[in-house]
Amino acid sequence: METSTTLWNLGLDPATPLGLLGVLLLAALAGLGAWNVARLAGRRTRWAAGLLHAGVVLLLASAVLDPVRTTRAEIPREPETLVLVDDSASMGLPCRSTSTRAEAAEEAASALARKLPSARFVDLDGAPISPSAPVPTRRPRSPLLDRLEAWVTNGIDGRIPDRVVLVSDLQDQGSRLAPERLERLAHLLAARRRPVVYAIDLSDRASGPDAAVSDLRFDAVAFYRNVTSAVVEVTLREVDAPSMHVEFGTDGAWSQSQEVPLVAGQTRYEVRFRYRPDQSGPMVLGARVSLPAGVRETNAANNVRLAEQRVLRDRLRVLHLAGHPSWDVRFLRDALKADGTIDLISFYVMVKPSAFFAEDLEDTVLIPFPTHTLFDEELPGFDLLVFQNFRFGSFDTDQYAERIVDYVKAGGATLVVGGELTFLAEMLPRSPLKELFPVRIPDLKTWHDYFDLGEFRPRVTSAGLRHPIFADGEMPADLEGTLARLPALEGANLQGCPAPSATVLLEHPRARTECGPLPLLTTADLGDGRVALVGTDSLWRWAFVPAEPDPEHLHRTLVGNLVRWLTRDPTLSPFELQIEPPAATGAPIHVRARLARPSDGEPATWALRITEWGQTERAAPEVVRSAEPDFSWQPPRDGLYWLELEKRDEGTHVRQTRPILVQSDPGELLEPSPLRDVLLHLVQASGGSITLPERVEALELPALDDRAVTRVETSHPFSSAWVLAALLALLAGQWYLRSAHGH
Amino acid sequence: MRRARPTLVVVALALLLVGPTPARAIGPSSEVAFVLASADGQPLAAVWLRLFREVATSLSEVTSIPVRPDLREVPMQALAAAGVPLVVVPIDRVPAADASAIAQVLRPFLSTGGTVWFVNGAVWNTRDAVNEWVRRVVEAVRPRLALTAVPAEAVVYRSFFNLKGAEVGQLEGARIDGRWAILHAPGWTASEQRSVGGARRRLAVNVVEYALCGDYKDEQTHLDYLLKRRKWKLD
Repeated sequence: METSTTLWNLGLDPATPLGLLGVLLLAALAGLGAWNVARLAGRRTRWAAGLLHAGVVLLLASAVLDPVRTTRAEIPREPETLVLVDDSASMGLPCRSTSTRAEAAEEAASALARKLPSARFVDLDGAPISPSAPVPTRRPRSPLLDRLEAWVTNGIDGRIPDRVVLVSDLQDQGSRLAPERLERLAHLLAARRRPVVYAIDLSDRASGPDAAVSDLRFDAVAFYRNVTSAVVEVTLREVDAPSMHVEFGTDGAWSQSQEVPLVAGQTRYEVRFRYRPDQSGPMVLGARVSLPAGVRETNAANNVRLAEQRVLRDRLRVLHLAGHPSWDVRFLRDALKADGTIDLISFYVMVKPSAFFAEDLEDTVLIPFPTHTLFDEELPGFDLLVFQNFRFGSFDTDQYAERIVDYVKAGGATLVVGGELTFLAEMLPRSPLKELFPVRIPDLKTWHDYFDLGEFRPRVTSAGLRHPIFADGEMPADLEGTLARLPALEGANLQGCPAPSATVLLEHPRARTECGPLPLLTTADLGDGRVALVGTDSLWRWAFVPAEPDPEHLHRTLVGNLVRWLTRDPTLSPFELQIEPPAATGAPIHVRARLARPSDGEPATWALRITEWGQTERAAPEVVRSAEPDFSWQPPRDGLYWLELEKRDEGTHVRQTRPILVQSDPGELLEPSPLRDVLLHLVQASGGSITLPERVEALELPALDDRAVTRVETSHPFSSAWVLAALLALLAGQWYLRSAHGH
Repeated sequence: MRRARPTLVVVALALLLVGPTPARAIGPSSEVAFVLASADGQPLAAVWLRLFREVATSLSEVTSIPVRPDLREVPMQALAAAGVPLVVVPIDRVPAADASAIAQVLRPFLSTGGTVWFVNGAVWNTRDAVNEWVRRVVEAVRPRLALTAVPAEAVVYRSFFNLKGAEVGQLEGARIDGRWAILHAPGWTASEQRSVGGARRRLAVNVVEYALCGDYKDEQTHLDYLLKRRKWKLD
């Protein structure tokens, strides 16, 4: 109902200097007029003149001071109510009466819309929403307090709302991080009492047991094959079980687990796992918690946590085994020791087997060959095993044959260097160790079947020239010229044909196998590892050149490149696998190959294969022909994927693999425990209340003690022609009296 | 060492079971040959040839190294052409050759990985003069290079046999690129050969093993320490 009020005030405030001057002039005018009236003759005349003068003074005063009349019409104001419907991920969690909190929120919003028809419904971004629409749960976090703070401080659309109703599970991880901010907000709400905050609390519906991997802590950088550790932090809520199962793994395999007994009342546990990174570059760590069968969790989304760790190469660990000391052993050892990135452990057979009982051996420093230590305990710690002129099968190595082959297939590497002992073991063709040879083991019947004893200068094959070992920039530019200048080699191991997957880099100029020239340097991939075979024991002649020292140090460069290639040193790769993260959530990921040398930019066949963690079958590769390929890939879902990019050139296949972790922000789902107490504190500070969704209809929202002004009218009643006419009439009367009765 | 004997016996039996190993490299040049260089181009005394034949025999009989049975004699000037990274230079008298000329021959030989072993077999009244000549050669090889006593803990004394310095006499040497590239036995008078021959033969074996294996024995005896220090072991 409209009501109106009228107020009077002056246009010219007498308290101002101008108003004061006006009042003083009026007073002077009044005094001067009174003196003139007193001087008139006749009592009646003075009375009449006095009245006229008073009238003139009053009219002049009204003209100068300008009285203003204001009339205000008002009606009671409708409060501006903002309803915030939480659309964060935790609203997708189950609750008792409806399948999800989001459905409960939708029902509550509909009830509020009926109760408060003029209310504005917004989401966590402040964008308008329909109260009857399903509530999405796409947002990883609930910035409830951020929004509330912004609306209390700055308003929404420039206006501070009168009431805010939160329809939410009252979860905001930000509040944990800034308690001082909460207090400031509470003080502001208590001081202003605007907006009054109400909350429709969905949190009490989300009860039930939950185990969450709340954190996975590890060093930002680990070192290749160096033992390191990670700590899995598990948070439990309402779990009544004797134990929990915590698993840990790297790069797609759950490799370790611990059964952790639970202590009554304890909700946080830290479980430490030790591991040894077995490849350099980015590595994905994973932690997973599970409760015993029969315990039904309310939230399984927080049971797994993945993270990426950078693994750097510290030093390469090379195990050098030799059948006996020789110049080839000595110069290979020199080349390995000259490389500052290599840690070398060597074992050479020093004594002749027939001399074991010789008296002379009493005073030697010989130690037993630590077969078990090397091939059982420490094998995974090596980056490369060098078997130089080593008789396979000796020192019980045949007992560890499968273990050695498995080590290579799991990412290790072996370099077999020839000599008179290399193919000697009769067990070799039947042993798994034959897989370490990228050639067929020759069928040896007589001593002459083993060797070609002549001198020769090896030829670099066309595949060898393109291979990273020889295509590397450290190699002599004129490789053929360098080989012609260096001493000839002498003596080669006769071998069978190269394996189908092998690449022959150097070959004999004369000696042949049944399928081509005798290989002298052959490489191949074996599982995830690599193998190489040098088919001579005279490579040292390229190192010891006193007559004409080799300024290009071919022997040392060749050994270095062999080691780098075998251990998958990325700097030796002809290309770098580059993964460009998505520009935005849901955008594709770009996979590119950047060539190490732009001169290699001839079109080649590139195959990209992407395999998801846990998939047993390898996916079909995407194949393109290009100089520098650029693949676009859309991950189907969050998870860990292996990217394998292979460059297929004539005779050479070069492959690089990288894991990539596609993981949306896990946000509040990691630990969806509501912060009801925090919100209650704010609600009470503002004068509002918290209620349950089924009581929305009964929610009391008191009317505001506030009214809206509908109309304001102002007028200046003494600013008119009638007042001027009256003034002139009064002045005329005064003039008449003075002229008739004055002096 | 004695504690390791049972294991060595087992290993030896295992090796014997798989048959005798032909102790030779594929090509002749990869076998270890004893190259005796004559500093002044004169033929070497028979006592030296006898001593190093014995050394070669010891190497063949005891060690796993494939050794050529014949000795090779070369003049120092032809060192590079010999193509062998270890050369023994027995000296009985002060060589007529200029020390700087010998150093010039040695320089590329040593810098590409060769090892030279001077053996001073001069009698007492010329021994110091021979030693002085060797010193002049060494100092001419490189600036600031000089002969120093090889310390008792040096790996050359235990590269195969565990030798005490007192038994074999003091060795001198000069290090190039972290190894004893030049060795010098300053007092191996030929006439004493009969009395101390066994010890000298053993030192010769050690020198050959050192030339072939470098500091291998230093590294090997510390295996467990290395594994733990480098954190390869999961404690």
